Amino acid sequence: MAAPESGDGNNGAARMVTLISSDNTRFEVEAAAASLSQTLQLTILDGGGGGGDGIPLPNVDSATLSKVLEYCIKHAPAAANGGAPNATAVDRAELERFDNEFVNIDQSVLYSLIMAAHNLEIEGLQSLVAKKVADMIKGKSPMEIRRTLGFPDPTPEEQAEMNAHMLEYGWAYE
Amino acid sequence: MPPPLPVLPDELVEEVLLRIPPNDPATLVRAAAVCKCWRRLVSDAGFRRRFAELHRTPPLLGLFCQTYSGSTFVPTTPSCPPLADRTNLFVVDARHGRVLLHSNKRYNWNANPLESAFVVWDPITDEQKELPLLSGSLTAWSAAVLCSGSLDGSCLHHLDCHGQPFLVFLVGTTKSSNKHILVYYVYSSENDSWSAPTTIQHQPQDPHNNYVLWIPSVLVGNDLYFMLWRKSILKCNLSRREMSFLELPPSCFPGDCILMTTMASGLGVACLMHRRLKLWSRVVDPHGYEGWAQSRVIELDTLLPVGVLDAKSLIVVASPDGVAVIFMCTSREVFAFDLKSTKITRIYRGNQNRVIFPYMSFYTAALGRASIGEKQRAG
Repeated sequence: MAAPESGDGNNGAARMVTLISSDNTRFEVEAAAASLSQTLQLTILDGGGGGGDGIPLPNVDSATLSKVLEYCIKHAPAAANGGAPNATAVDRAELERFDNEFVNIDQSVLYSLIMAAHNLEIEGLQSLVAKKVADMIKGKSPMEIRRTLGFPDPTPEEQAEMNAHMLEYGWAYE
Repeated sequence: MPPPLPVLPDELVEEVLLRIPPNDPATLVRAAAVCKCWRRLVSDAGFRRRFAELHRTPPLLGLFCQTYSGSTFVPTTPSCPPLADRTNLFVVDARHGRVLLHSNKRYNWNANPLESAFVVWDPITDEQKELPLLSGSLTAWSAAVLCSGSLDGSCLHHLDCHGQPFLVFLVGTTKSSNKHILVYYVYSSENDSWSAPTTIQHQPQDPHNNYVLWIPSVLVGNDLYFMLWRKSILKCNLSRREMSFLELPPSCFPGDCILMTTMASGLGVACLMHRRLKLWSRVVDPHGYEGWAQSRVIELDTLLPVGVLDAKSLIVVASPDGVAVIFMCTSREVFAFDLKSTKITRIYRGNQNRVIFPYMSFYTAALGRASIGEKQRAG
């Protein structure tokens, strides 16, 4: 539900830019939404991405990019208001609800998202996914955290270190 | 089988670890055990600083309570480290991650505190410093510990000032030519010495009006406030070393009150009287006159468990800086009253002296210490 007239705040009418994923899919999106990415914002300010050119994103596949853009479109109006200081409580609650549902996804998608957010410098999205992964490790033992995040099995040396840690910080394992 | 997950680069692992809630030290500690890389990340000084900057307010980890034999720590978060109990050392104050201890306990008001040393203890890093002894004699006293950076503003939010210089402010009455006069001493860890005693000017004529009470002091900006017997509050401006007195709000009596910081970071008073909790704020009117404004009255009848309100020993004891919680206790139980939700929960059942100091700190400093210890062992 993106605000159709939001634009980039300067030109009045919404300026569109084209982004090209690593698998050559083209996404046309409002410049204001794409500008949530610090890296894209620079290119767009330089006049890039318009017309038939498009901005190639060789590190982001189409599935991830479409998810990234879903986030950007939703958050663009609030970001245009400078972090939405005058947003109503309803608007904020709606964004929060969207965010909670948005990260309720498969872990491999979460990982692709946080990598893309990192590469494209989308601070809000990076922070949102990081918070979700932090929630996933809450209450878990080091071994469970390793399994959850797909670490290889520990070497005997690593296992011995984990055991020693558990003895030293017994309270944290109760 | 799903394809293996990619390994997150260090900077993204750090982004994740930074978002572990500060009131959940156990998760942070367990994360440190996941692998060498994670341990290195969380024990780094830069991580500690960023963790504090992101979360802004150190979490309330628990309460230090005076017991009959020393001090005991009561955690208020479910995953809290067991900070050590201390025998024969009684908690006198706690602020900016440090705890001030002394061998005199409450009700031992007349024992001269200058006969034994004050101890400043950091429960997170378990470092402690015994302060030099003072000569002379003092009675009806109290003391406060604070980070030295409070004075010049160099440590604005006290997010990670473990190991930084600190001050101890000691105030009490001394007898001079048969008169009781209020004096103060300031200890600075930077030169490890106490200032000479300084007499407070313009003190109340009635000597009974200048007994300092052992009720937690409050720091608002550069002003430290202590409650005095009868009806007044001592205001100590630490940067200008100026002392002045203000009256308690109308119909408030010291035994029923605590000093607190208001949500607007000003001076407040909470008063438990006639089964009601009344909150007052210090305000300045448009003409520049300072005074008290009653901000809230809470009827406690339906909020506390049956019988607690009738307990003669029920008092309001402390309110941590910047956290909308007020602690109340009887000699057997401690309750936390959440001002936002208006809910009261019992957090401790056990005998204590009804002298309670909230303890707020990030736990990250302990992880830093662990890595230093590891390097020392390895070297």
